Amino acid sequence: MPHANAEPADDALMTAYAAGDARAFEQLYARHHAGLYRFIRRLLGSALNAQTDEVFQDTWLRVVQARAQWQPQGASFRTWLFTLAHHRVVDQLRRSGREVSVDAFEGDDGAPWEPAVGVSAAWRHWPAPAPAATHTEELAFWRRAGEKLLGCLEQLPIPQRSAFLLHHDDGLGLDEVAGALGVGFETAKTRLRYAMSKLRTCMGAYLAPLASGGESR
Amino acid sequence: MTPSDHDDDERDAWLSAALHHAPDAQAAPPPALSDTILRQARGAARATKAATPARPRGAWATVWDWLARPPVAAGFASLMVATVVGLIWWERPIDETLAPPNASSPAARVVPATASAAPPKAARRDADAPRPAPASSGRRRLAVTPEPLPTAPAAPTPFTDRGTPAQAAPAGTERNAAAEARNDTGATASGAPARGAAKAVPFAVPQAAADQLRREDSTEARPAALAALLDSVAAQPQRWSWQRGESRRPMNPALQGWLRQLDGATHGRWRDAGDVAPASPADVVQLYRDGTPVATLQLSDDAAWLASGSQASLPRSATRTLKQALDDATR
Repeated sequence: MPHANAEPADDALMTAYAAGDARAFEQLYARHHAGLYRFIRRLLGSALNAQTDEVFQDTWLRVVQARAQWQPQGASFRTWLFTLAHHRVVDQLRRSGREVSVDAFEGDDGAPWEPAVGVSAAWRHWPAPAPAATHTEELAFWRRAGEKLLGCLEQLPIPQRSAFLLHHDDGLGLDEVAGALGVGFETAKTRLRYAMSKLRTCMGAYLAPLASGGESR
Repeated sequence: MTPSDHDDDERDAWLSAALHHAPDAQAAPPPALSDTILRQARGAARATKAATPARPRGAWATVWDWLARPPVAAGFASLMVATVVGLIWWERPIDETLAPPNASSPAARVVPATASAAPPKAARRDADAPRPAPASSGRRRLAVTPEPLPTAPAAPTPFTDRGTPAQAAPAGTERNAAAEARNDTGATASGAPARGAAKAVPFAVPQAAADQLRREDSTEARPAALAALLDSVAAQPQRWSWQRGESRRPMNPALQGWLRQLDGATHGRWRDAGDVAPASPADVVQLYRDGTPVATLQLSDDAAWLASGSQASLPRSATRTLKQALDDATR
């Protein structure tokens, strides 16, 4: 995540905080609290939404406790932060009795990933993606799409879900995603492709009625 | 393809847009939760700050911290080890395979047998024969300078053979040293001790050597010079040659075998011979290393002699056997 030149980098802030500068931590928190909270909430899913606050707090407290051991070399602070959160979400899911597969980067049938045939056709009927939709109809469309996407996300295995969220929502590069998840670059890439393929299938079917000009649902 | 290229390929603009418009896109932690986290973080920061000035950070503490760093500590440990080793080996010849000069004193004879703890020649000499005359210091330095084992033909001779004319030229310096040592002995009689004697003794004569000194009259299993010679011949026979009579010949297995036989026959019989020479005509074997005479072995009717001043008394039958074996080996 790029910062203005005048602002210190995350690593410098964390180093300053490790030396006792509380304001450095406040800056870090201001930068990352919203994205991290969203990541945890979406990764936990609607069934465990109530645990979001606890995991979020645990993650930041872990940052506080590990400040002395943190080293700026290696992964960036942001990657490290999301790694901590991911580990805590997985722990929470396991405690809640959910089965969390750590190697679910292949298809459910074990077949290697291939682009979904025919799905892309449905996407042609979607409005052009815009960061902030201006027209009311488009805004409504994207809100429904977002709502549906959250539902589709919950159908993904945790490894694919976390790869997609880190990459598409939090803006991490593939190498950073791999680092945050503790997997190789190709594994992260495969997980991401599976996630996108499944999400496109899920979303394309849902939004298909829009292509005929009618209201979707 | 770089990771960023992959990122462009893998990033789906529609899914991203849908994600950004999701109902929870503006979700944020409750303010109370943020306050709790920030309060805990501030408390930890205060604890860090409080802990830092609590420690006195004087110059000594800084130096101590610096010394405690593993690379620095390892470096100092190495330096200390080197210092200790340097003190132990102070003024000792670098090559311990060298035999001591022809010394008539018991200390000079005994100490080389304890190779690892032997005092330097200079220390021994100073200890046994204090010098009265500072004017002779230059000459004394010449006499006591350790002589390394020669690696080139032009190198000085570490071993001396006072009884072998063939060694006259290389052994000249050694003769000077020996003569000076005798002069030193004479000086002892005058009763004027040199300062170097008291200084050299404390760490130049360790306990093992002192024990040897107390057993002056005891025999040796093998003189250090002979042991060093045998080891060197066994390790690098190509550098050695021998001479019996007129012609010099390279070291061969036969003579090596004879040396081992001599070593076995004389084991435990070596004594200090001082200046005594073989009474009866002796067979002489001159040993050269890299062309430089290093040692002379003599075999008389009743003893084996090492030119560095050691003698091993043998039964006549043993000397006859050794002479016969020498004849066979040098034929």
